[in-house]
Amino acid sequence: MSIGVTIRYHNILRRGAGLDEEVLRLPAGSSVADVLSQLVTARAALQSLLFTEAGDVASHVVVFRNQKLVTHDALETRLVDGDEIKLFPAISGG
Amino acid sequence: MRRHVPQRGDRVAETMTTHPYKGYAGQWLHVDLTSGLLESRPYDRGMAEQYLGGNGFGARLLWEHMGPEVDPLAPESLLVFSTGPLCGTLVPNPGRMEVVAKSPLTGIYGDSNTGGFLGPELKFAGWDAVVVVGRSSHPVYLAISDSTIELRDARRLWGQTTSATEHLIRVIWGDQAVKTATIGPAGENGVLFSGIQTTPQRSAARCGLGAVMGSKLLKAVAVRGHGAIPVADPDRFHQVAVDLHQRLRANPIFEAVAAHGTPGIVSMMDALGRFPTRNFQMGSFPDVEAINAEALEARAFVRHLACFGCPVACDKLYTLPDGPYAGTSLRSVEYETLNAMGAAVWNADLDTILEANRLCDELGMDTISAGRAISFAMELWEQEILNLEDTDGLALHWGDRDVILTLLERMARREGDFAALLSRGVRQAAQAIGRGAEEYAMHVKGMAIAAQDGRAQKSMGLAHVTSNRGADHLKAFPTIDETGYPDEARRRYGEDYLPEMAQPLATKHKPYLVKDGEDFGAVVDSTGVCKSGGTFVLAEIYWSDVAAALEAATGMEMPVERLKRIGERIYNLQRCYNVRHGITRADDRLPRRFSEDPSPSGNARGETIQLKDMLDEYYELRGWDKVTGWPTRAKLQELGLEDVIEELDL
Amino acid sequence: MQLRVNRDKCTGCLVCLTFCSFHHEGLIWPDVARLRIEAETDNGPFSPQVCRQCNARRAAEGALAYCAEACPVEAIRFRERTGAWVIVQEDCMGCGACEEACPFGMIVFDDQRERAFKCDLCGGEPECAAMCPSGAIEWQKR
Repeated sequence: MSIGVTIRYHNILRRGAGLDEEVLRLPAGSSVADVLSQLVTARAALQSLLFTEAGDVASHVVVFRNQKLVTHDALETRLVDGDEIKLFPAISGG
Repeated sequence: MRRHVPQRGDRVAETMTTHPYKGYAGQWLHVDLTSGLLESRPYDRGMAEQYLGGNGFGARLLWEHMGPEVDPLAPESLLVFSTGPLCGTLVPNPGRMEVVAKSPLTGIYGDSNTGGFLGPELKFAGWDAVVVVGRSSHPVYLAISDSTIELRDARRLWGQTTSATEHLIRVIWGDQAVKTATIGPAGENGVLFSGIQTTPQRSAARCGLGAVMGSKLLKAVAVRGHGAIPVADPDRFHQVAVDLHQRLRANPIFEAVAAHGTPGIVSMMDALGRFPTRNFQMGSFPDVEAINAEALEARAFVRHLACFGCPVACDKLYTLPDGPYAGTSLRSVEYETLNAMGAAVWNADLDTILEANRLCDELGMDTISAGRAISFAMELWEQEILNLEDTDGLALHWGDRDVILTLLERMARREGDFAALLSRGVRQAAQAIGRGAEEYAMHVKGMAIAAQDGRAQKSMGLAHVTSNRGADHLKAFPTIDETGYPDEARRRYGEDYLPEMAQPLATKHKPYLVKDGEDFGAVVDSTGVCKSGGTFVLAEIYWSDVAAALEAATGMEMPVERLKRIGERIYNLQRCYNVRHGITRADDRLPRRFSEDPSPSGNARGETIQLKDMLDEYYELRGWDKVTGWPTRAKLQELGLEDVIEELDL
Repeated sequence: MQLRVNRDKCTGCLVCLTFCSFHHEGLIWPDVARLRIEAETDNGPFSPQVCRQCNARRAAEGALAYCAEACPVEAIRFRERTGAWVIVQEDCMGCGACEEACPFGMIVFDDQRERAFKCDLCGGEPECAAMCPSGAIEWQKR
């Protein structure tokens, strides 16, 4: 069984991804971390934007799942069909 | 082809040798519009040591000359244009200056920070600051050409838009490189949220300082400077500056900030529930994708633009290619305006937002406060507190684009009773309307709340109530907990403050984050450096960096502890100024909506903000009285503010 | 090596002017920078104008830049190592002939000091290129 997860890219991550959004099909029980790994496999330009050289998710990458912040210690959160992931660089401002 | 460096007068040579601290021009200009007296005064050494410049210089002058008995729009009122010792120098983001006055909108301390090129030009002309008092008998503009100062007739400029005014001044002067600060019709008409446009069409927008300038019949300040800024230790200063430039450019979010500027945060703030929608009823806007950075870029982007000396170039030029406002070309379309003229008024049409921005620029109005006046009015319409008779025939439906643009024009000219009422800001308008309107006036101390929501970011809610100019995100400017960027929190504060310091919904440690931000921000704003650059948005440059830059530039000894003391001194003085004008803890509060209506939106869903405990801790950290919210005698003694102690009878 | 300008990348930040003036004068003084930024409007488009070091490639054969040719006391001389025409300040007598001769307006004549200044490529590592944040000015192999 597989699940469909929508990924929305923002800001310079769109350039890395080459598109604004896409729907990924993943095995049931996949986590946020699994999604991110799969993204860079398909889109190599995202590797340096999303991950550090050591292979961790870069500190300045912001992840939302269904409009809720997913902190980097919660990346093992399992996803369900229809989930939406938003990815941003962590810029602030006012 | 000839390229001469003109004779620049003796004053640059003089100040280079006589002023003890470099980085400063060494002189400020005192202008009395009543008598026409124009006077050069030396930049006091003590002022430089205690307050640096910028908002510190302005706060000190207000304290000394603008007591509660002086009306902000009276001739005796002061209007201060103040640069700082790092303005116009080599450190990154050095293009800023402050305009300081008692705000006619709030009745308390007011300041507005602006970028672009005017501040540096003033430094090259040989002036650290310009202080204007009095009222002219007819419209004038101040022309500063190095050490040659003149008040020139502005009768034919009065009534002109800000860009037309600047254009005409440049034509008359015969120099396209003249930099100006101008007011538009809104400032002339005393709109309480009118602002001052500075070259190149950037804004000293908040606190209604345009009305102060208008009340003096001062249409513009025009500057041309050909001189030099000296520094105390050139080798060391160069080293510090290059290091800061390199670190900034290597920062992991530099590219993202540079790509879009402040609009780049729209979609993320929306996901956080921190994008005020329908006058703060919600924190997310269903059509946010139509008005975000990506939409703006696709629709209208022309080129990247920078302020003086800045590597980020966060500003962009936008030109609409077609549609009803085809050809509308403007820069500085910021996050705040996309919110104020977009989500907050339920408008998803980007072209209308750009046109609204352009109107505010030309008429000389703060897009935040003007937008909030409209969203306030629209909510009153929704609540049936206002009807057609009250609104001069305007049906204030959410998202009505014609209403938005019509109201902007009418407010700027105070045309019709309703628009004239709104032009006084949401607090006064609500008081006048009554019928429960005050419930929907989203302000703190009379200043409209900008595009943040304390329910979505607890530190920001606290920042709004403790800001010295009324609701404002920029005084404390907590950025590291907007989304949870723990690396920055770790770097600035250490492991002990994690994880909460980086968590937007946590309240723990936030009083310290706000206090530290306010003190650091006060220093940054006193030097002429930009907070949207390395010091806050990129969070790359911090206390020791600014101290090192100041030492090398000025020759002042500046250990970090001393710099922190200066930040505290400036912040406490501004607070004392407000206390003198009747501010107490009771005024450090948010509208009821934030504490009682759980946010329905995004990451903030279900959240309210409760200030009591955070405020208690904040006052404790500040050394202020928890009951009254007043700085204590002990704290003021520590900061050397003996005259303040005496005035407040502490 | 030469200075290369990519106009489209210029944001009008003027970092080049500030660092150029600082390198040469120890002051932040855009008016005496040895390059300039032309702007059609406050919002661009911007066009950095750098000294072209005219005839540098033919200097070995005795070709002169316009400024060097105009100088009555041969104070403007070519530096092989950097590829720059340099005004030797001790020899400059402040006549302004170089400024009149330069078709590109790249000579800075200071009325106060009564001498001429021009780009000397900072002795081989031009500050403008080193500090330009956008790549509008680059230091590149020919």
